[in-house]
Formats: sequence, structure tokens, C-alpha cells
Amino acid sequence: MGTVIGRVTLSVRSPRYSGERLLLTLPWRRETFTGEEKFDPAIVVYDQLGANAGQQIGISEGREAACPFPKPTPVDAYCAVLIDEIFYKSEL
Amino acid sequence: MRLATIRGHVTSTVKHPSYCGNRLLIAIPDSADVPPQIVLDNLGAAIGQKVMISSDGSEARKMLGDELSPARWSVCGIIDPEGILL
Repeated sequence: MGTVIGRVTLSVRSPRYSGERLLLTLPWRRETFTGEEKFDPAIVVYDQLGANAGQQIGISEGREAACPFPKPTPVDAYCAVLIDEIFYKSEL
Repeated sequence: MRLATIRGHVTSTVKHPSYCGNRLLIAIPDSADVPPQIVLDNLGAAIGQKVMISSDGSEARKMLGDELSPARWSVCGIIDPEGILL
């Protein structure tokens, strides 16, 4: 999971990218769920869903991030879910 | 595979089409080096339950029936209440 804080634009890019949206995203840590403002260092996430700054998203990282592309694409973080609502129980 | 505790769930309208109709749970892995993950679940894990989660994307893609899915983490087992024997 992550919170979008901005966007990245490119003018010179890998020919495998086309029409990409790149989001600058802060990945959540376990403290983030309990309301603390603590995040992991920001990562760039490839987005096809249209997420905007301030939105919470679900990120797919690793080899799976390149799976939605028919041709091999250099993507290692992909925005898979735009999150509407989170239900989290910190005390069990 | 990691041991994790289910602590919640998320809802989403706009998502990769392969996720439609599947439960997305928040799993907190027991070891501190792995961050919280959103996991797919077709076993029916409940909040508070200990589960085993797998980062195998090919298993998640089979579960969703879509080879182009970006899914990675899925619940592969629900651990018995007395199921961890040391």
C-alpha cells in the first residue's frame, strides 16, 4: 500500500513505455496503519488507473509489476488498486 | 511463505480488472522486515486469524484466472489456533 504524493514526467524514455503515468508514492509501514506519519522512502509507480496526489493505492512490486504488459517492460512497481476505504483493526 | 495476521480489509472500485470479485485483506507479517501487504484471499480468512501468505505471483494469477494480472501476495493457508508447534 502507498500514498501518492506527486507525479513524475519524462521526455526521454524507454521505447517500451507508452502513455505512462508515473506516480511518486510513499509506501506504508506498519506504523502508518495506526495513524503515525511514518513511511518508507518514496518510489515511482507505473499507473494505468489514474490515481492522483493524496490517494491511497495498492502497489504490486517485483516481477509481477510487469505482468500486465504484453511485451517485456521495465516496470517494477505497478498501481493495481485505487483504495476507497480501509478497515483496519489495530487491537485484536 | 510468511506467517501473518489478518488485521483488516480494503475496498476498491477502480482496480485492475483481474481483481474483480475477490477479497483484499490487510496482512501484517510476523517478521518485522516485511511491510504490511494487501493479500488476495479465496479461503475466507477472518480478521484476527493467523494465516500463511505467499508472494508467488504465478499462484495468484492462477487463482484469478488472468495471466496478465499484477497480483503477487495471496493467502495460501489458515493456521490452526494451536497450529504453531515449537
